[in-house]
Amino acid sequence: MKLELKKICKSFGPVEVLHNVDFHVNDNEVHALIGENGAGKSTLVKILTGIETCNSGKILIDGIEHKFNNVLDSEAIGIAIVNQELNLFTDMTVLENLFICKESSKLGIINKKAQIEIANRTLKRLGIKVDLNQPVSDLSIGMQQMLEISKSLILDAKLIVLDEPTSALTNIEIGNLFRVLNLLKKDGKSIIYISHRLNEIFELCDTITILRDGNFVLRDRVKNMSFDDVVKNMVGYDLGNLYPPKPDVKIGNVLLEARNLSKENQFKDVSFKVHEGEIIGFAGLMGFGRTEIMNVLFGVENRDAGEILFKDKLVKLSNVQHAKKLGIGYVTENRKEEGLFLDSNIKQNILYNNLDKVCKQFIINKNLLENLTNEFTQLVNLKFRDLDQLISELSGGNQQKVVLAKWLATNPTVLILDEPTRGIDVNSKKQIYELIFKLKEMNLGVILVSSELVELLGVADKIYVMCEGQIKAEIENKDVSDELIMKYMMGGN
Amino acid sequence: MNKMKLDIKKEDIPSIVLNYFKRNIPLIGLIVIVIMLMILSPSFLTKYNIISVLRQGSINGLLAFGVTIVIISGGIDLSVGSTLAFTGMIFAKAIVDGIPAPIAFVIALIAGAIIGAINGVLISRGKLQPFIATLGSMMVFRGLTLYISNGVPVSRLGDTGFAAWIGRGYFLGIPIPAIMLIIITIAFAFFLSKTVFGKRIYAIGGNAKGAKLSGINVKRNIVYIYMISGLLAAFAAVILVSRLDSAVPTAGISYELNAIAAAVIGGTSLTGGKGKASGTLIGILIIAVIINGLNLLGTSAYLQQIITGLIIIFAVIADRKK
Repeated sequence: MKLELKKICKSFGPVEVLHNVDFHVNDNEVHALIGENGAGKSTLVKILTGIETCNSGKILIDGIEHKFNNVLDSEAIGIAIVNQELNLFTDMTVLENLFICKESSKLGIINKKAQIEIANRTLKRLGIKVDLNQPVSDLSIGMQQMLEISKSLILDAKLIVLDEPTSALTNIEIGNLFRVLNLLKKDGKSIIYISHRLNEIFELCDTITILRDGNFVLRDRVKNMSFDDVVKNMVGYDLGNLYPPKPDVKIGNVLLEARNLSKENQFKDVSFKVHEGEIIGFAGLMGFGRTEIMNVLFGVENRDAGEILFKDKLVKLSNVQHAKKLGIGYVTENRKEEGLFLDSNIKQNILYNNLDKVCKQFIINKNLLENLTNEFTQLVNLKFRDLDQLISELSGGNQQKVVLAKWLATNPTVLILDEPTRGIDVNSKKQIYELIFKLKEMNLGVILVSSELVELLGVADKIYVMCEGQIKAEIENKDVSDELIMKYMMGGN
Repeated sequence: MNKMKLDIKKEDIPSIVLNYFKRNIPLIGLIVIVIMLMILSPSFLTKYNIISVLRQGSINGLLAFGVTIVIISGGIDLSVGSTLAFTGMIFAKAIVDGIPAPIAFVIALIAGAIIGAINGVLISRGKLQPFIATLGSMMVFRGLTLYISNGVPVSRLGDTGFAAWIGRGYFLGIPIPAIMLIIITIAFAFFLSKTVFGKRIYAIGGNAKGAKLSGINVKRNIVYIYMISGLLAAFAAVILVSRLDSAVPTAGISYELNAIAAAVIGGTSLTGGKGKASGTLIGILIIAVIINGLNLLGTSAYLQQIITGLIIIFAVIADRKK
């Protein structure tokens, strides 16, 4: 299938996320679609599969223009997508999953024999051995992925989109996936391959398209490009004035130290230190153990091995109450799900995190609460109508400031910030950076987890680069290039 | 697959047996209860008594199958007890008004399906949580039943013909309600495992977003699912009215909970996506056998609730452990 997306524009509200993007995919090729988080890859794919519609631009398939209003439209043309979060029914069997909504049936009664025949033929072609009557929950993630691909073949898809297919796979499973994808290419299918792992792209793909900030950057044969070329074109930003000048604060004693933390299938041998007045950054891709480490530091999850020291004393940190008592604060990655009570007001959100501070003999003291809320909403520069305003009425940036305020109100000595600027506007971003520097001046230790390299380079004193659950490098943030860090992140050396 | 079976080593056999036990805890529970009652009461295993168990189980059984598919789809139906009272009242009133019993039967079924459709639309289009929607309709239809009957039972529907046969008749010496239970069980086993609609119920309950992305019309299917539940409640109503020769406006109070209990004991998961017709049948039988057994042993009727309650808790814990 020859696919041409021409001059695609897409806005969400007033924000344009794709600007005149061109994207061409040919027959018999594996085409890599590359870009940083927020570059517009997933929006482009959503438009291609009919989940979103574009504001302007054309979708041409084999030269004919098409319009997709939903997934069924694109499926009918032969486009299938295998999402990062697999779309399977885990309580149902392999066979039932393969044929859901495309059952071989007569008068509503399923013809199991026919289905088994088709399934066996498809699976045999791909060289996959699996018990058709097994529930999907018993299969490995790699096998579930194979099932998704098989599903698209039963649908007779001609173009298959794979979004971060290897993020949860073992090396052997990745090898198997590549074998199957090469087989499909030989059968004349087109494959769009989205991945953050650049080495995979050099191993598997024929052609590459790079997006940056919603713009088309380049399209070329993979063999014409080097690792460094790809990285340079992906990053390509300038630091600008988004980052205020770093305050000159003397770094003090060790506040929190982790020694050889390990947790099965999540991270291994992770060691680091945070000092007074220091901002340490964690770079790495999502799902590579960063958030999992923070969960352990805050006592949300247990570790399998390793020690944690707080002010040079061994601490157990087996629950959140303990972590809070020590003076650790944790601004989580998903403010809407984990950080806030959206249907409560600003005061209540501050209250739930600081009950002990504003309660006297089990009764909430209104004045104390009012004062506390005023003090910390001012510190974070919150824009609001009044303190009884519901969180859901605030913008993303202001919501994030409420999360910061509720943690700062607990007087932490160490503050963990997991993706504190995700999905918020540039202005709020800048204010949050200013706030982080203010915390540095107040001698707090700050742990900043971010997928945005530029942010870490602009804010952190030291950067720990993670890849596949391990710390690959520990770098002082002085004269360090983003390309170097990116290389470590992608598993290079 | 055959090869895999040959590869099983000897030491695996205990674990296979153990696995079989783990997967079939409700069935094994039923067998244990039956054996205990056989030992404790000589009259338990008589033909008369077994038939009586099936007849007792039939009303709860019909409700339970409807509730089972609702729960598999990720919902809950609290309204079946009230639907039973309301449609039973309609059935009885129609007969008293001179409408032939088979036609009254069809009218009652249609009324049941309409109540189900209302529930389904409130949930799928009105975006109400199933608990709320069916709690509301439970109260509304209980009230309506009391209102149209003035709180007075409608009795004496006749000792011959359809109105008597469906609840009190026999075929080959087996009561018609028991036969209905068997037919409905077989029909549901087939429906859930062999039909496209059946599979979609599992898909919707297992992963509603995924079901939608697979192209399943989730909203429409939810309406159908609640309609089936309402229809079965009406069917149960007709059997009950016929058996008692009377429609009582307070009939079916807390029946919805017994139906949910049967489904849950049989392994249906309240989170949706899991459940089987055979499991629900076992749940129905466990409840019916316990009621019957405690009657035979002459123990207090109150004990029955305690035991059913404990079994529900145990069944769910055991289900989670496997």
